[in-house]
Amino acid sequence: MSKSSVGGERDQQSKSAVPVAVEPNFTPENQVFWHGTEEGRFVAEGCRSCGLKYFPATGVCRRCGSREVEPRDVVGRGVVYAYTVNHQPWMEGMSDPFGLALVTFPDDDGIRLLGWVAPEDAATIAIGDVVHLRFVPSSNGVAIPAVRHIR
Amino acid sequence: MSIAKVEEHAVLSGLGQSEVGRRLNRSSLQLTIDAIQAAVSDAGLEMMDIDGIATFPGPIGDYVPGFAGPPVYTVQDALGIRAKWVMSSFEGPSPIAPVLNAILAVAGGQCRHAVVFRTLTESSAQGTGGRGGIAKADGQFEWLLPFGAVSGANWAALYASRYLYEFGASRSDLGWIATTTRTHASRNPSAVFRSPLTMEDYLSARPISTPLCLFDCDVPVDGSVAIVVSEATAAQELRNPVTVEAMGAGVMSRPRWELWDDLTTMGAHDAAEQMWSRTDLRPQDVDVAQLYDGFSVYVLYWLEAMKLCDRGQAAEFVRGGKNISADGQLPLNTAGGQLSAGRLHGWGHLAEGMRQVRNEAGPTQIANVRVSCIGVGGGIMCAALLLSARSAADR
Repeated sequence: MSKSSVGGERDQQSKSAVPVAVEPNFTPENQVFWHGTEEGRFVAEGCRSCGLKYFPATGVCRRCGSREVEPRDVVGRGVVYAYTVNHQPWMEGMSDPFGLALVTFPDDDGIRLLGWVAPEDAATIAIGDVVHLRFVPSSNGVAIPAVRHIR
Repeated sequence: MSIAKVEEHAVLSGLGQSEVGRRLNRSSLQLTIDAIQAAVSDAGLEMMDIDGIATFPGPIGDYVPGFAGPPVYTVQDALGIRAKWVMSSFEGPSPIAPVLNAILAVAGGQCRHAVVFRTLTESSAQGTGGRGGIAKADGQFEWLLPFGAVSGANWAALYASRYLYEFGASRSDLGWIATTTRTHASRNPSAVFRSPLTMEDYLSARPISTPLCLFDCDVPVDGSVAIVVSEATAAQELRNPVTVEAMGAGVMSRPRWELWDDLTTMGAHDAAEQMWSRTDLRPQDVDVAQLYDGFSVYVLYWLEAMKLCDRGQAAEFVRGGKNISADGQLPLNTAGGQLSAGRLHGWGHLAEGMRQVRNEAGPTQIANVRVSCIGVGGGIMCAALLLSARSAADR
């Protein structure tokens, strides 16, 4: 892939409704992810010993047990592995149906991340689609991953 | 020293259930006491015989309103129980995990008669405002809630989407589960929904989180169930003990809903595999199946996990409803399950499985039941139990 399908911009111009969600529970390990989303990057963790890239960051390689690990961006293409369109307003402000796409990154050791899909795109996403990940400000005060087709 | 098989050293001796219904507006402690007193009496015991107590989940702070019942110490103190073994835990193999733990505790000699309970007041606590999302994004929910997947319905829907995609199942296949178990609920006087549900009703219901609609989701209730687990050597003192043929748990994939390797399987598959590895009984010996239906789609997973169907064949198995009906080859959720009888969080399944093998299910009794399998939980938190009417001498 010559063009990264992750990030690229912190999307402030989106006409879509602000995604409504629960505030993250910040931990020493997940701060790097949430800092990354503010910059439009999907930050996972990589092992300097065996090379595995994995998510979420834990400070220890889940394959070889090495503590020699570091933040590493996920940059490859994303493929939708599972998908749902939510219709139920569980929280105030969830009136428009929105999508939830579980995205796999096959070029990044199969890392998976859930992403929000804007109401206007919700009907267009399907399992198997190659998608683009960007980051949008949400009601919970942080930038969260949002999924749409590569345009 | 090792115990060859703990299940041989413990029996399920007592079962009690409080009133179950919508917005009962009774305290969770009072419902719990109703269930425990009934369970102890049903076992043929007195409260002073009880020397162990456990529950799921215990105090868990800010979560879904009405989800947690009373703290275990509050109940212990109210009933004057002098306990040699006490526990509660939110993490572990499903809401019936403390029953599995009680079997271990009794078999290991920590106590002789343990009472285990699960109490919910979700209906009263949620009032008329409808269901909300989960409030705290930690643990297994850390990477779901902040992205907008705030309900278990969303997580189940992601699983369902993958299952339907891989195996070509359809919404009407899920509909056969909802409509057939509604028919079973019509025979259960304590079920919440007893009037018939047609496939047309099902297919025209409003979507919740695609492909799941309103009738794919269980109904919150108030209620409490208690079980007494006793040492097998106490059988002479007990009214009608039930044999635990085998139990199973396990989380062999990544313990997060969204990171589980293969979303066409759940923890159910690990739990059931361990269960079958611990018994000489086989899937064809199962007379009735009580399989968790917090969302209808879980039944497809449990049917395959329990090896009651081949992989990818569960939708075909439930299609038409014949196989899973009360007079079919595998009566399913004979009291109506959570979809129609109410969300007792797996404990309704456990209670009905126990009643069936005791031949005490009354209007929902299936003829000649010797073995019932019980699968509880969705996603990563699952447990499997195989109960029978065999006495210890028969096996």
